[in-house]
Amino acid sequence: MPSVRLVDILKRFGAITAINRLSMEIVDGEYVCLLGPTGSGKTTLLKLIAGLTIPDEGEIYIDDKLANKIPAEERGAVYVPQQYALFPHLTVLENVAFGPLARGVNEEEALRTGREMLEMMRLAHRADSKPDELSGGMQQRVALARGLATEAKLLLLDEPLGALDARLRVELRYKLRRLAEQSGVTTIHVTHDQAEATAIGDRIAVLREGRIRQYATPFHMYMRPQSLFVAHFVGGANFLQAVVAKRHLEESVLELHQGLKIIVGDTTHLSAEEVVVVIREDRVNMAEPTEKVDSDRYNIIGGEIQSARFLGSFVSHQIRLANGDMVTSKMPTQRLEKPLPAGKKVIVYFKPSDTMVYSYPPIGLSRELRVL
Amino acid sequence: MPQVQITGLTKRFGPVIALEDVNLDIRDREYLSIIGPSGCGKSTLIKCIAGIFAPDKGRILVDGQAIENAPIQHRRIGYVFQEIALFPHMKIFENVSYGPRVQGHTRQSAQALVDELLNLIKLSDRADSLPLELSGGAQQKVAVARALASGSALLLLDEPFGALDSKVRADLRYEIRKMTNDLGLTVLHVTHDQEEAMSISDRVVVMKAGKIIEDGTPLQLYLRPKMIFTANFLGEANFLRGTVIQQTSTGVVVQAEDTHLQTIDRTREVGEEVIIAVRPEFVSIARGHGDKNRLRGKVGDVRFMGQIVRYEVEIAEGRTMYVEHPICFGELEIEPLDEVTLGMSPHHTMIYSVPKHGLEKELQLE
Repeated sequence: MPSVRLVDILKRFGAITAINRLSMEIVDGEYVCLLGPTGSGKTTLLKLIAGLTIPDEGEIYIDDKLANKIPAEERGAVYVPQQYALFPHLTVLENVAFGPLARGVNEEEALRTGREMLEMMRLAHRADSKPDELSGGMQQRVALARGLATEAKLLLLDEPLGALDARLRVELRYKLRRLAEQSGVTTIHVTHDQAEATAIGDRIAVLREGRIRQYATPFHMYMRPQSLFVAHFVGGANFLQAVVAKRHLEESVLELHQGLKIIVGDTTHLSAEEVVVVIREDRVNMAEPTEKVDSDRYNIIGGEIQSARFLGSFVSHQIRLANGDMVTSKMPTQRLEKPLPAGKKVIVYFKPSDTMVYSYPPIGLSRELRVL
Repeated sequence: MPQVQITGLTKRFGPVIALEDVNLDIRDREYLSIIGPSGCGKSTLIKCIAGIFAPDKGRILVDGQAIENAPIQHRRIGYVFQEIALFPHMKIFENVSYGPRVQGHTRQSAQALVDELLNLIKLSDRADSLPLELSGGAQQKVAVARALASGSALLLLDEPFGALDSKVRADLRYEIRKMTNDLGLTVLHVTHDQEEAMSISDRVVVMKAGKIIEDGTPLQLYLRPKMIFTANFLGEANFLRGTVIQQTSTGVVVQAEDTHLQTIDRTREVGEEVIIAVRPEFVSIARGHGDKNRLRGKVGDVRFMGQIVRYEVEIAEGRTMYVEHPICFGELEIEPLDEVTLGMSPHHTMIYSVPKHGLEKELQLE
């Protein structure tokens, strides 16, 4: 099973730097998601590994062998592009069995592998159809099944679930993950969907403007985002501007707009420094103003509900705090079935240890968080 | 004050019945979403209202006026679809003022309206940009503004965010919802994204195979769906087969997987074969053995997913339940191979008759 190592890769298209001095390593058998907004370079990176495009500088190692000059078809990888191209004159099953047949596997076995893959993609009932009789989402799954059937040891998948309806997408992402695990392949999966990346990646690489902003497990990415951008892009959060009012040994006092003070667990920022406090939406609790909340353990701030959104397993409320800042509080539906009405007075409370503090970004907060 | 009444709408494409006797009322100022798997007819329905398809049968009344045979340009309906379709050579201002200009307004007389709409979508400063100078999300907002510039108070959104990145998409849906609310529009929104539909709609309609199978508020459909298809389509669900063994004052008791499960449904008879459905986030999980109203199992995969941890639990050979535990309830020290017990609150346990053609066929997504 292959490992992949990228060293100081640079790739330009005319004046645009698509990949900017990027290094990363994918270990044998790992499932890595490349996550980033449109134009962040994730497809280019995948094509570089596949051998469909050549880096201007830097080295690509597959299984510790320098692969820069190895042609795509000899890299032991299968690349499933977003724009899948099925053979229009072959049936679905023939399309999927094509890889094994081309490799010299006997027909019976190739067809059996093909059927297994179609079964997994929930397409067994369409084995004899021609590709153009299928919906876009089905065609994408055929392309994916065809890629999987090649039994390549390195799977390079570009938005493999992108054309699917949301519900099917959720279902198939778990299947895809299980299949990769069972067969022990190394998988690199490009997606713009942070929920998908979090649900299936062993590690996630967040790309922005051709660079890796963070490369970590979903847990670390969520609990310890290295930048405001990553905190925003993976998981989402509240971002409040503040100034460090006083730094103590184990915590600091921050001043938000209009002099509102809160306590945070961070002590790495100096007094008077301009910072941004990040609080995950599910760590912002909300209660009736009359509720007793322990003020030694929580920051407690009054506010008024502006709007509510029912999200299924969570309910979110947008709350205007006493100092004018807006925060979102997300609670499990179990705890609060019915969204509360706009205009209702509430208190929000959160623990100092549930905050993360970052220096105010030199390019400004909204530009730092901008996704496109 | 647009109000829409659709009765007996039927549309065939050759042998395929895309819409079969669809009846639907949309109230004035309502935000109504239609969801359903690919091929369920939701797009055909909205295209019939927009005037892109002519129905074979049935009526579409807008404010009491039959429009099913009216040409598109006479319908006064704003229509926005997935592919961004701005005029690429025209500036944003020209794009938005196009409708009013065609209707005979001068550039000056259209100015106030266009300014107001651009202001509303927070793109006043981009009036002189060309579409391609804007992000995909911003372009789609312009498409909505253009659709509204002709003075329509009925807005049809046909997968308007489908081509956008998920993060952009989530922000945009709330922005559009607020705008349509502020303007007092009636909106019909077709989407394949359940969360999108639930988070912004007053009411959601579920379609399957050319028919409306159920409608209700997002909360009703998520927590108390009448149809087993809806239970699965609007979010994930675990399904367990069982038999009703007892009626109590609060509901019925179902024997399933060697245990007894309480439900709050009172309509079932003793001896009836049923299917229990429960969403992963409504299943509690704890280490060790619990009381008799609980299922036992062994933990397989454990996935950290941000706000939740997802556990795969094998409750019997080849049968798996999924449990999603919100982290804000506290972290659990449960690992793969641990023996656990699962609990389901009766309040969140749904109960259904066994579908005629089998469960898998009933839940099929296409």
